[in-house]
Amino acid sequence: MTQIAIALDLNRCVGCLACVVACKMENNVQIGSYWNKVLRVGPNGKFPDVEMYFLPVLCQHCDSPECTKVCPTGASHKRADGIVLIDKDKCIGCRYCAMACPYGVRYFNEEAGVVEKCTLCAHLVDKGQRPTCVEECTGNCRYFGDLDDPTSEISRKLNEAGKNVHTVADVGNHPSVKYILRKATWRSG
Amino acid sequence: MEIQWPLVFFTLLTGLGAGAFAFVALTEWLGKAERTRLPGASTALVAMAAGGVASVFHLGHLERIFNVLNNLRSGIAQEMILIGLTGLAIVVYIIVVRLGYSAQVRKIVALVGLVLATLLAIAIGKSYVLAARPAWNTWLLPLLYFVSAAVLGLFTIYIWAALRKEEEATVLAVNRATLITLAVQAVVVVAYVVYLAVAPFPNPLRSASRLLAGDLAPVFWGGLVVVGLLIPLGLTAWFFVAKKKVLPSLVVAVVGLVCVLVGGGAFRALMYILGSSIEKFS
Repeated sequence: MTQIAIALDLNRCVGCLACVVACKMENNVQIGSYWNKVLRVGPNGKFPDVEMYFLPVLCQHCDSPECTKVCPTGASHKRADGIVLIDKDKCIGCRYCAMACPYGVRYFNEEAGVVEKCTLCAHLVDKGQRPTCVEECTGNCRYFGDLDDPTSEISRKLNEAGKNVHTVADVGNHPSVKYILRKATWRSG
Repeated sequence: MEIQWPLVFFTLLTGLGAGAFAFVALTEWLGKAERTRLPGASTALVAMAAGGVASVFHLGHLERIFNVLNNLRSGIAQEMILIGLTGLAIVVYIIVVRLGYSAQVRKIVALVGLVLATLLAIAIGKSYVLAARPAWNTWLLPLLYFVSAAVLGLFTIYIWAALRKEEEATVLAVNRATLITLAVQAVVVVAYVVYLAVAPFPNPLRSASRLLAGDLAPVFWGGLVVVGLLIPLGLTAWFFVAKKKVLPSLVVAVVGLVCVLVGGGAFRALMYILGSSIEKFS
């Protein structure tokens, strides 16, 4: 089995939004939509014990995605390498997948009449390259690779992080994107 | 999430159609309200067609509509199949009545239509049961859509029973059935509010307090409770107990239908507003 994914070391993220801009440029994302966005979580606590981190949010390319289960057309599908994609030639724009997504990371493109989202830059991955958000990250906080390959960079980084690895809320969909956060309270999920 | 108005009208009209035909089928089996059946079935067909038209305004690519049959496990595919089959059953029923087929044939067609209409009324609510949206992730939602379809259908039949001057006993029976179904609907609405209060992943955006005393309270109390439940309940209860009928049955039925349409629309709008996803990343 293969599950291509991204892991993010939030202690390295500086909230520069380079990934957001790079994603928009690479994928020609329409105005108002963010296939990749960065949220600020906090500051939480009371001075001097305050903490804050940046949380990049994107399609979680779930192991058992709800979006593909409800899609009536089969447009939303999971590839053999684990990437969840939308076949825009099949999509009827019913937005049922967006309703079924627990994270609100699917966007309806009014002009094209279809739903869009992060593709994990599958067009680049297919050429042996990394997603543009990983490539352009100024803090080098993004790790990309196969979660099921113990020798991949992503697997090694997650192993090193141990109990500091988190995911967003899981309602049976098993999100594949992993977040590493040390010395702060994880506030999702 | 934003209110999806085409889907509000789709579920209201499809529910009305399914409910109306279900009660036409019941009258066929009970051997009552003969003059009501044909206009009732025709109204059901028109309502379902109008509901289908409303739903296409929600789509980005209508020309690809038959792609929905690619995944039959999807709620949308199931709805589309059930709408087609129920519509077909209603057309066949109208034909066998018009051509004067025997009561046995009419009953068989009516029974098939009754089963399909019941499944359709449940299916249009079941599609919304999604783990991603805690306010929707309950079997109470399809139950609410089912009861709403029953109330809408009953008032439609009520109007035709009054217009076609059915026997007083028949009109009173329809009134009694409507009153009981409205009472059941009120209980299910209360159960849903209780569910909101105890639902997992609590969030002020989808809380019972927002519904009861927050910014959604005017729509909940005014649109759903007063207009959608109390007025039609009061009218049918009054018609039920009053010895002298002050209001004609047609007035009760028409006002009742308008009220439950408003109440049904209010509930559906509230459902969308309360239907935020588990993680709202914005």
